[in-house]
Formats: sequence, C-alpha cells, structure tokens
Amino acid sequence: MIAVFKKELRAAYTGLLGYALSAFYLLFAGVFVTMNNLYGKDTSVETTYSYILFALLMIIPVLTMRSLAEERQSGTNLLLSSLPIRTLDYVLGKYLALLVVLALPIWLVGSYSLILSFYGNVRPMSAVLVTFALFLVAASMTAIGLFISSITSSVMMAAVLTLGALLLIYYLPALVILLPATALGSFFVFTILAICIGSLIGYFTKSLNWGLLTTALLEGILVALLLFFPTLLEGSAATIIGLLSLTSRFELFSLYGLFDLSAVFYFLSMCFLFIYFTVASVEKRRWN
Amino acid sequence: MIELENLTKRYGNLTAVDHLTCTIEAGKLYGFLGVNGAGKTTTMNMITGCLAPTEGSVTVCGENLFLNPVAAKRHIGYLPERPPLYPDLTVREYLSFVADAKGVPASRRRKELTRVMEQVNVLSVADKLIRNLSKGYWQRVGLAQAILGDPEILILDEPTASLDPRQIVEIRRLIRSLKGKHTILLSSHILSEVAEICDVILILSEGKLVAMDTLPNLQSDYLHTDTVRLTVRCAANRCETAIRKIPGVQKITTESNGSLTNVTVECKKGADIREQLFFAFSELRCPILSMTLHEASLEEVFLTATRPEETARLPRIQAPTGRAPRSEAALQKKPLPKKPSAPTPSPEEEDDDDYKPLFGGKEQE
Repeated sequence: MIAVFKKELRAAYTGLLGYALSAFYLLFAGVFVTMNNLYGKDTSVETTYSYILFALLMIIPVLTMRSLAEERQSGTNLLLSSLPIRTLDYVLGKYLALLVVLALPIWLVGSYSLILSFYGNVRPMSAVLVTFALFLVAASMTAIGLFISSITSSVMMAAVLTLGALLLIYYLPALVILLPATALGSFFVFTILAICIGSLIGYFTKSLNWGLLTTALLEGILVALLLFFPTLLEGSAATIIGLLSLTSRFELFSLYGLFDLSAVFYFLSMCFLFIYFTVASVEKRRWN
Repeated sequence: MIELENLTKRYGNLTAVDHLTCTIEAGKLYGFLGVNGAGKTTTMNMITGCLAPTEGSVTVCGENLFLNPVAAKRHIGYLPERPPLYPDLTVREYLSFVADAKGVPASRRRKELTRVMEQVNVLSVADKLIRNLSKGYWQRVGLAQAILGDPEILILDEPTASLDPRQIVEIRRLIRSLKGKHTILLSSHILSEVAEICDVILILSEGKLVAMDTLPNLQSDYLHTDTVRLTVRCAANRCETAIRKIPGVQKITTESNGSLTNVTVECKKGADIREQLFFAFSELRCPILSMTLHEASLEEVFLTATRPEETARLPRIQAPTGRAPRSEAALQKKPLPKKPSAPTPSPEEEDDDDYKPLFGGKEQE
C-alpha cells in the first residue's frame, strides 16, 4: 500500500495536476473568502464553505478520473495485478494519495480563519470542524470518483460520469422536492430504485438470477406496503432519497455551525462503501 | 515450478483456454507458440494472477495462485505484451516503485536497482522520464521490472514484438543470459526466435495445448516422412527408375536443370536411404553432386500441429504432467505419446459450472 501511495503522490506532483488543482481551489476559495469575509466584514468562514464546496465538484472528477481508468487504458493494471500486493492495498494506496492531494489546499484555506482572527472574533472550534467536515465530504466524493474510474477504461468517461454523479448529489436536496408525495408516486420511485439495486447486484455477482431475485424481493415488499400500509409510503421517497444527500449534512456544519456526529459517521460510511465497491469492481474484472 | 491443472478460461461461449494441464520445470526456457488468438496471452495472464480462470488451478512454487496470491506472485516476474510503464516517472522512480511493491528491503534497494539497470543496460537513462525513451528502452525497462527482486520465474509475453532487428538481437541475448538462473516462459509468434533460444516448445491452438516437447522431438514427431534432396548428373527419367527400386520410397519429384537433375525423394520416416541412393547412382555411373537429409523446420511442425483437423483430432491433448522433454538421443523414432489430460466433462456437468464467481478451482470446492 505504501509503495502505491508514494508512487501516486509522486506522480501527482511530478506533473502539473497536483499544483493546478490546488491553485484552482485556492483561487475559488480566495474569491469567496474575499467577497464574504473581507468585503462582508464577517469573521466566520462557515457560511463561505457552502460556496467553496462547489469547487470540489469540479476538482474531484479531474483528480479521480485517471486513477484507475488510465491504468486499464495503458495496460499498467497488469503490473499492479502481477505484483505481490492485494487489490485492497493498491486501491487504498491510490485513495490515500488522492486525499493528501486534496487535504493540502483544504487545510490551507482552513487556516484563513487564523488571519481573520486578527480582525474580529472567530469561533476556532467551529472553524476547525467545518474544515474537517469539508474534508470528509471531499473524501466521500473522492471514493465515489475512484469507484467510477474503476468501472470504465476511458478517462473522459470517468470524468463525465463522476461530475454527473457529484452534481446529482449536490443538487439532491433541491431535487427531492420534485419527487411525488403520494403513496403511488413513492411506489414508482422505489420501483426504479429496486431495479437499479437489482441491476447492481446482478452486475457484481455476474448472475442474472440474483439480480432478478433481489428486484423481485424488494418489489414484493413495496407491493405489500402499498396495499397494506399506504400511509408509510406517502412522502417517503423524498425523505429516504434526501437521506443520501451529502450537502444537506454538510450544511449542518457550514450554515448552522453544528457538529453532527451522525454526519461524520455518514461520510465515513460513504468512504468505506465506495472503497469496497472499487475493490469489488477491480476484482470482478479479473474474474470476467 | 509452475503447475497448471485443467486451466480453462471462457468468455461467454468462447473458450479461450481449454483444459490446459502442464508442468513447467525449473531452470529451463519455455517457448509458447500459437497463432494470434490461440490463448497465449490469456494463459500468461492467468499464470501471473492478472486473470482468474473459469476452471482449474495454477500452483507456483507450491503456492496456489488463487488461494495464496501474494505468496505465489513473489516468485513471478511478468512482462506483458505492452510494457506496463508509467510515462510520467523516471526509470529510477519507476523501478524503485516496483522494488517497493515487491518488498525488496530498503537496505538492498539501491544495489538491486543498479544491478537490474546494468543487466538490461538502462543505467545511462536512469534519470530520464520514461515518456522520452524509445520503444527498445521501454521493452528493457519492462524487462528490468520483471527481473527486479530476482524472481525464480519470468513470464515474458512477446518480448521482441515491435522492435527493430538490432533491438531484437539485444533483447534475445539478454533473455538468453537470464536462462538457467530463472525459469522463463516466453511467448512469441516468431518461430525462428523460439527455435533459437528455447529448450522446450509449447504449441497452443484454439486454446488447447497440442504439443509440448524439445524442438528435435517435435521435428521427429510431426514430420511423418523423411525427405532427401539431391543433385545428380543424370537424366530425370533414369533417376526416377533407379530411385523407385529402393524400398521405402514414397514420392519422387524431379526437376531438370541442363545436364543435372534436382531430385526430392520422400521416404518412410526413419528409413535413411542415402546409402542406397549412393549405390544406385554409382551403378548407373551418375555422380551425385550434392545430397542432404532434410529436417522439418519449426515452421512445418507448427503448421502441422495447429492445423484445425489436428487440433480437432487431439481434443484437450496434453503432454503428461511432469513429463520431461526427451533427450536428443531418445528422440529418434518414438512418436509423442498423446493422451487426454483429464476426462472431458459431460455437457451436463459443464452446464452446472458455467460460472464460478470466486476462487473457481478444485482446491476450494
């Protein structure tokens, strides 16, 4: 793992990528800190962070697109598979290197509070925690990007898909409002979700039967709910899908200055889940 | 050293590698031959753990590759067809990463890198970015990563493909120098290359191993007649009449060239008719200007072995596990014993195991 980590970190800073992404983030964050905090005469950076989050949507697809897709494109995945290291080690090595590349600018911007503290009152704990939360959101998004990079051999495709996925997650709180609130509406939304979950399971187990069985089982539960407890379904689509939102959880830190332990666990779970998916996806390719 | 047992890879309905069973012994150089799409690369990818088999197992130095991948892979150095290089790193950085991943201790790393770079002759470009090097250097750096950490087994997939003639000679020389110290499995479709440097030749056709032996043994097995070519100062019809009297002669082709006649005689395998030819023509008082017993080239062996009817005739043929290639002395007349390596599963059985998701092999069943 350490070998891959060191190599990835070196590769990021041998080329321009590491520097360019850091520069872009610093510029973006600098503009918002200047507008919100300097011109707005506000020493708390927390609210500024909800704008800065948007910069990550653009940085992360560029950062993660190459990581695994390019290995397949250039054939170096054969080297990694033939070396005496586990798949988990090389995925983790890559992931941690990406996190370091992201952590540097994020914590650098985090230190702006220190500068602001000369001009007014800063709540130091809140400033540190919001930076920490932003880093966790970035880590979750990176895990998603890494997973998407593992399912395609085209770097561009990986970037576009990651950007799409991250935008969807970002705008999820606004989009769930559009979801139907009736029991039947929720039923249809969940049916689509059940088909998606079934397809994913079918893809990973490479067995159509397992996929169909999962979909049928979930669909059975949904039909039962619709027939016997329709009130449970009313408005539930928006609530449950809304739970998947990273941004609404981050807003607890940025807009309200709260520390939400469940959100921290949620971000960490997202990281673990997508790292697991990435390892499974890389392994699966060998068994195809 | 490496044991392949019933190694099979299916992609949907296509069987890329079909119940391959063989043993690779220590210290020898094995040449893997086959037309494009015969399953060479798929087999090599399975031996190196890059691809999992649909069925069967690979044991490397006693370690099962799919149950104990990390331990088994420590014994293997792999150079895929396209050298797996990171163009953004320098040669030294790249090799240092591979050494790190192979677990070469930090105290020995510098020495090991220098040794390997000297061996493949890339020391002069050690601090250049890989993207700026020529194809010949890429191949050498690829080879350097394979031999790094001194693995017992080297798997080289078409190491001389797309190189210029000078580079081919250099890489070949390099591979030959590695022989003995490492067990090498090399794939190629350049027959002369395999004939020149390999001890044992494996011929793969449509995913099946159709032959595995030394070149002399293969030559003797696959050429069913001996051919004698001679030039005689004699009329063509007189030549034919004289040769026909010799027992064992099967086919005579003549070609007049002024007062000389070029004759090609095919006779029963092993019946060396050169002496009889000599006496027959001396009776006619016609001098023989030249006479040679023609040996089958690897090309002829290869074309015969990979004929579709030959592959179909020998379903899942395999050189028996552990069979040592025969010595030159023993090769003379004995035909290659060909026996099925494993009972062919019935269609019903095959239907049951069309996909084994993880660790598909006998071991963990």
